[in-house]
Amino acid sequence: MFTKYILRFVLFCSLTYTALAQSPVYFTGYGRALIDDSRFSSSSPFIENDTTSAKKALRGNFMFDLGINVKPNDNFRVNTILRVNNQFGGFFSTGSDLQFRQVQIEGVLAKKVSYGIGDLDFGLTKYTLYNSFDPTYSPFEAEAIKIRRDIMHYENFNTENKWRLQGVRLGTELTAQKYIQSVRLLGFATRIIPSNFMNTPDRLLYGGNIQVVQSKYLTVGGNIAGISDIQGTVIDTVVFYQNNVVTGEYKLNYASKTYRYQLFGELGRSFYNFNKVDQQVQVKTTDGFFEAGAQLKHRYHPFQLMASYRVVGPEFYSPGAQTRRIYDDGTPGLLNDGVNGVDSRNQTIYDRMTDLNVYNRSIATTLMYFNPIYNNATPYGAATPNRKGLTLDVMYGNKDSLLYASANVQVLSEVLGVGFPSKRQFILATGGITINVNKWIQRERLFALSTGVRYEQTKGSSSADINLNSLMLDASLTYECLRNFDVIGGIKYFTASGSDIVSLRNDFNQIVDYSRFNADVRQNIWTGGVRYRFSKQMFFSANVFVTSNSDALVSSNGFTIQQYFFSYVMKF
Amino acid sequence: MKNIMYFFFAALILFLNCKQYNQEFIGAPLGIATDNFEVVGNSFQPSAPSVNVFNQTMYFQSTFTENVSWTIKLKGRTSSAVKTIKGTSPFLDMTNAIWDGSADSLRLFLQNETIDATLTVFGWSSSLTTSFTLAQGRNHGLVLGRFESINKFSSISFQDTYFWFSQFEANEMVFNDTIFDAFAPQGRRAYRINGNDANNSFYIGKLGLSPDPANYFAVGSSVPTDVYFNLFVKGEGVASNGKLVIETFEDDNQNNIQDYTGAEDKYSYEILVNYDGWKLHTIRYSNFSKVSSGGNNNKEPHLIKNIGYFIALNSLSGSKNVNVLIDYPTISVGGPMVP
Repeated sequence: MFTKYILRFVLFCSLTYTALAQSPVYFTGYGRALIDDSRFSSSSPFIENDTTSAKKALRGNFMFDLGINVKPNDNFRVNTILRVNNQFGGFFSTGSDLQFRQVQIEGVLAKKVSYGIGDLDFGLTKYTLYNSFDPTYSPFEAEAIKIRRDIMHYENFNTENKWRLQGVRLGTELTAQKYIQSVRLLGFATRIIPSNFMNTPDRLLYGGNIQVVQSKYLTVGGNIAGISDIQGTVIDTVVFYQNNVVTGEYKLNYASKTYRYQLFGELGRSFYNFNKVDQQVQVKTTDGFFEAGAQLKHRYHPFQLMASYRVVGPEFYSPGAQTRRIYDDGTPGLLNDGVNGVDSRNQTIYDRMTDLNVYNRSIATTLMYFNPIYNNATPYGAATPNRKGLTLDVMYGNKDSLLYASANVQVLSEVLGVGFPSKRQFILATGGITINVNKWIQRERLFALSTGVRYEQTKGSSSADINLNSLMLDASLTYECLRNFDVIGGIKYFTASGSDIVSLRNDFNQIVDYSRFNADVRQNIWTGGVRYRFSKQMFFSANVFVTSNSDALVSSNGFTIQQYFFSYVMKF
Repeated sequence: MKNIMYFFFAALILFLNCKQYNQEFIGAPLGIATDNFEVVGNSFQPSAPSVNVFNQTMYFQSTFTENVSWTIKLKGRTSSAVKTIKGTSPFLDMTNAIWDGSADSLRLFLQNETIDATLTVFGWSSSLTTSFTLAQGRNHGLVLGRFESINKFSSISFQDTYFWFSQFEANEMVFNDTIFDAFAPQGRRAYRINGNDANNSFYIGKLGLSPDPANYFAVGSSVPTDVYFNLFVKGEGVASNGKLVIETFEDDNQNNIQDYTGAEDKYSYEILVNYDGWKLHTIRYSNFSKVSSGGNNNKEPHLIKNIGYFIALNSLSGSKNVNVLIDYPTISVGGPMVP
């Protein structure tokens, strides 16, 4: 019965789409039906002698996002996305809920100024406004894992490294003639916390960017990303927060017959001011950063090489760039109770690619907690405070070429020691390779092999016993055995062991305490299954995932979960 | 080229503007023990083998050979309540290693339970453990209920408080009993109020508490801004459509007879239980709202004759079923209850 409703709905959308093809109204859509059946392995120590916790879970839902676009002319467009969501087991259509997922207005004023209002994606540079990837993500991971991660990215509006926020954006480009070719201007303002009219003031994130193209040889720019409470929006002011980041950047270009050369850099400062009015405590601080590098690109081959050096001060605070995408302390939603309901399951790499509960969508003004096993070198992205060092990056090919390979190595250290003078040193190396075998053997059908690696090392004072290592490996196979019918499989392996001292910060980002951190964990994801591609934007996949976690320090944290996952995804 | 030179000069000025760091490190001193570190005599002791934190000072004693960052972790063997005490010093004594009976978790330490204390020091691979008995716990104010008995009726005499329940319509209450809950903040059981609003009246049922008929609740203050109602409440997530209402009945004319007709003051406070897990709610009596039409309109906590905890629907359009667990209702004076 429910399927019949859905088919009617899709048919209605298709017919309407055809009818309105020439009208100012057009539709886009994204639909998804998911079912997962999960169960603990009976030998999991986490549920040993457990008589109260759930050992199995069957979940499923159908979701359809209908994008309605009204574009009466080239200078104006309204977009809204309506979401119909139905949990399987809900009472057919009455068990569904309907909500607005997105509302946008975009247009151009006087053919000069573009504007956007509503739910928009915002981003500037890595030091001002940037949503860094989860460190467990790899572009070389298996297709089945990519399907799961794409769902998380879609649900959390993680479009590359942008933040999805609600506000207004203005932009324009001015062309000059004599000394300057063009000037591009962008400004935006969003509200990240609404006032409760009592003691929480409105908090705005605002900023802008200017890009001055002097010639094909030189581009300079400036960025501002600020967050500020708005005084007067509450009766009783309890806190006042303000943080402004101002940066400048440059690009110097030169091209020979064979290579393109570029020198680039960015430098700037943050100005932090947090006043807890009710407690009469105010902290003001300022600190800076700079990054300078060089890049080499072959003009005719997909090869590029980059090297840069950066210093980020210990008190450089840029919430727009330092806020983390994942709550490392988030409790997983799937089969999370164990030990007779007394304990919650540890978050694993599997949860980080499948569980909405651990994803963060808002800008945090205090440096968020992070788990050192996943990323100790750059937990807050390139803007991680108290880091300096060298980055080397090399890349060859692209995802459609016979060979695609990339490697990135960061050799970093702390600018100042934490808690004592000795400084930590970090090595972070990531990379991988994809071989599109079908291009090699000149076969039309897909046949790709990939492997990826992420290695991280933290070294520090031996008296403080700082020595932490982690390794993540990916392997993937995609093989189109029948036309549009793929076998997809892969492995993700993660291990971390060692010891470190974790800093605990107060609301002012000050390090006030420490805790000893020890780890000896291993996590695996094995996946295999099939995918049928109806078109480039529509597929069905059926996969089995087996994920396990073992903890040599706390054996009761060990578990194995087996999950059957079926997904039907369509876009138009 | 001239423009490029200007740019580099500007960049250089900005670069030179970078902060100069005068300190050797950031953050609080870590206090790492060296290889020569020792705890003198390997001695780590509580101030007494049986401690009373209600009216005495409880502390730990030890002496170190260095100024180090130390941590004492307490864990109740029965309650699993935990508390961490930290500091940086070359010794432990009553100036820096005091325990006031509080817990870091929502779970409370229990009277007469054995508590294990473990001392660790940054950079020191060993640890020392001691244990003691909590003879008398922290002062949480007037305790109205503990709900530790399996038979709810045997709980009637807890803390000299009378206990009863009622439902607003027949058969709407499904459960009103004590129930085992692994995460119950106090002990291992909590009180369950569960029902179904069959007649769409919002109201389902309640747990009522009364002091001895001849007395009022021994709140300890007549100033409503000084009096706090504390209560642990467990919710069932955002999909829950329930709320818990705390209501108080005052005996304005002091005739020792509770009036239910609205002729005397009745106040209430609503808690929306749309969250998952246990939470401690603390409500100042001055924030309660007047419900009855009669009465003298003065909040008089010392004249409270009856306290009710009832469940109701938040909205008629949602689920009709409400399931709430409550534990350890108390009344404190001068500030919220600290677990």
